Amino acid sequence: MLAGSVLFSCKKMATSEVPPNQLTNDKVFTDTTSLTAATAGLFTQLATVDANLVRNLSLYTDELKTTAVSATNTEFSNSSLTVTNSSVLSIWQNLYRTIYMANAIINGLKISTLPDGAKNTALGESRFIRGYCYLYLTRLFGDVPLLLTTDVKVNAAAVKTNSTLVLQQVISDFSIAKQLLTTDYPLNNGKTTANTYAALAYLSLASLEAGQYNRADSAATAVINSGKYSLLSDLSKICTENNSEAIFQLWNQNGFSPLNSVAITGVPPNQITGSLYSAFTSSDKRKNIWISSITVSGTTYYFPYKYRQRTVTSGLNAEYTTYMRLDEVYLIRSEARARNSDLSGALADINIIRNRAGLPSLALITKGDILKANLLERQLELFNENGSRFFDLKRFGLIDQTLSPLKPLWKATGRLFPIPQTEILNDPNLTQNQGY
Amino acid sequence: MFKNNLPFLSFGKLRGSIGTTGNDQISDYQYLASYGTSNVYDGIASLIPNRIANSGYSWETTHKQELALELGFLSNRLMFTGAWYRHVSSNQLIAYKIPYLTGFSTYQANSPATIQNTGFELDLNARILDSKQFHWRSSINFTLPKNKLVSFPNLAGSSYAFNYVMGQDLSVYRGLHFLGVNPQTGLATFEDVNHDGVISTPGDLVVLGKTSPELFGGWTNDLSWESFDLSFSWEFVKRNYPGYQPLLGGYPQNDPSFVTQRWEKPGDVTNIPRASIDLSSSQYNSSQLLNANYARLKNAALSYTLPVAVAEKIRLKTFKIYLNAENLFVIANKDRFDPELSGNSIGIPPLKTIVLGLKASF
Repeated sequence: MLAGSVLFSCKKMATSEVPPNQLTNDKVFTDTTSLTAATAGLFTQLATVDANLVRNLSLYTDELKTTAVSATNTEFSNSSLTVTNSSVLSIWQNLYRTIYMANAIINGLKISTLPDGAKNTALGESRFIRGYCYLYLTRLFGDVPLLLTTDVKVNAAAVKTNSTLVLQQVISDFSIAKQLLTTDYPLNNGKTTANTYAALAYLSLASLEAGQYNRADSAATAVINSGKYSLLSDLSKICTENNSEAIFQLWNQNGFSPLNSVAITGVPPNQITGSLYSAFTSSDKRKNIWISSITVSGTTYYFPYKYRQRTVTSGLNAEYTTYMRLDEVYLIRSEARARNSDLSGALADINIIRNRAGLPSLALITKGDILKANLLERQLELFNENGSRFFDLKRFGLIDQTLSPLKPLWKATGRLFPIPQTEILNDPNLTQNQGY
Repeated sequence: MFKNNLPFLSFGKLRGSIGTTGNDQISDYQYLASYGTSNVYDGIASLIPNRIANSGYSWETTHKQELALELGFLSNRLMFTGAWYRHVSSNQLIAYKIPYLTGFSTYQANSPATIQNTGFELDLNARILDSKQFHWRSSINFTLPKNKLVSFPNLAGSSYAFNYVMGQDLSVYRGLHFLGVNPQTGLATFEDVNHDGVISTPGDLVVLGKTSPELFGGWTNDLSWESFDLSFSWEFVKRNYPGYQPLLGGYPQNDPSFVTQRWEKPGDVTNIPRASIDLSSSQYNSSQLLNANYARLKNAALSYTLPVAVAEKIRLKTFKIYLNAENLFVIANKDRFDPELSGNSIGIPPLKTIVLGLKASF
């Protein structure tokens, strides 16, 4: 079809049908080096999402408060977003752009004659990335367009797909990624791309969100039993590059993450809220290692200290933006087991995380108490990482009662973000979420 | 024949043209998807897509018609040109807007819109005074442009549904219909156009007007009397334009002085909403599309040149003293903005500069 129209419209003028100085899709998908570079591009693009996402979701819930003042930040701090919030648009836009790139590789490789090894790696990473993006999109926005092709005419008029179906696609993408990828990380043997266990860890998370607890349990178990990862005893190292606990990290050129919250001097711009700080008991090691403080003019400010570097760092202290750690896999499995009424298994996983933090094992009996303990442990263990708190509160059905006392403008419809106004204007088939 | 019957006319010309043109101002190979290099990721120079494919675009066409009359009076001391034009463009090759969920914000495509631009251009040149000591030349020009959307198949189902209105100017502007500030709460109230009980966009947006000018032009003058020269030029525009909308309470920054008239306590009657963390009052609305007519004295220059005979006595080749001023003043509604500032932003208006100079050569 393409060639036909080229000949038709340019019969007289064109001397060459393929631009010699441009990297067109057919060239990218017939060369292993270009394909690897296009795959690496997925991660470069994904890295544009996190700075907005993680910090703003911490503001949106009860983890962080900020001294930054802008309309965008104020809306997140108030948990009251408008349809023109630029950060919401940026999250949406970058997630969908990453999806386009993944779709371009998945569709481009259908006719490629490259060797299976190279193809499987690129396909596996693309499925992994697409699964990740849709997992976040549907947890943030609910029903969203589910686009699996790069056809602009089709995509530009997309309608929303039910969130259950989106989550099904996410599970399918992670399941296929798990099969295509191997136990080795393809790039430089760090953890800066996905391997089969990264796909399994996210498969476990997506299955938990979908209420498919058996698969959440078995996928998490496969990661835990692989022997490839172990919980660090030194809690100050959880974000260092290629540490034994990390399952998936994004590479940072300068060895420090944009998510660090360490102030150079003066009042730190992003501070731990009183409610989060007081949720830690005094014997909890995480309280003093993952939270730091600074006293300015007699007032003490607490800030997240999981990421410690904010200047160029190399060697063992270099830090990468950390997306998935083994501790989260334990907590996912614990919740799945509790919801599946495997109470002793659920409690054992919570206690592994508690013991690592220097806390004694719990001896709980009822399902309700164990789930409550799980949610608390998630709050303490995963704060300011991946926006987990927002999704956890929603999954546990506690978002309204947790946020309404803290945020005067909170409305129940705040459980979903608004679809960005410009998207609704440019795609007349899209409808706005309730409450916006 | 005409010449004898129209003795007051010293020059006359009627001209017209008609034609069809295309457009080659687009880059090559826009119909193919392509990749470009991006940042290094963990040792690999990564590739990212920089274009989306569109295999089906074709020529754009513009039909142009023009008719003009040029007249000269009083031995061409007074010259008049009046022109009428009509351009009808279709299949325009544009960066067509698409939603971000496609991975891009635009792609190269033919616009389905047919757009008609018509207008009058009037130009008057006069040598008002032309004596030995005293010269005064003046020229004034007006343009009255009009454009409208003639057709756009399935406009409502396109990404331009909220940009264009059939039969209207392309610069139509939409916003909420402002009903005033509630004296009790201090928040702005808007019309619930679709009667769904909430104020939401785009459902409650109405066409507020257009932002393209209805008229623009200039007036320039050059005068000289013996060794003095004076020149000045005016610029004028008639149009509406979006004014600055402060986000009161949103974040701290300098605002125009009108914010001091905002609502402060129950019972206050004003059109400026309260400062609040609730930013709903700041949504774009009809109170912000303002009359932005202006006439500005763009520049004025006065100079005195010493006569050559006098200059030579003090051993100078030339001697000139001058005063140049730009943007001396403007006649406009300046409540919310300088009319030349582009819309909804705080910026620096055109600078007023005055230069006093002396030029001498030996």
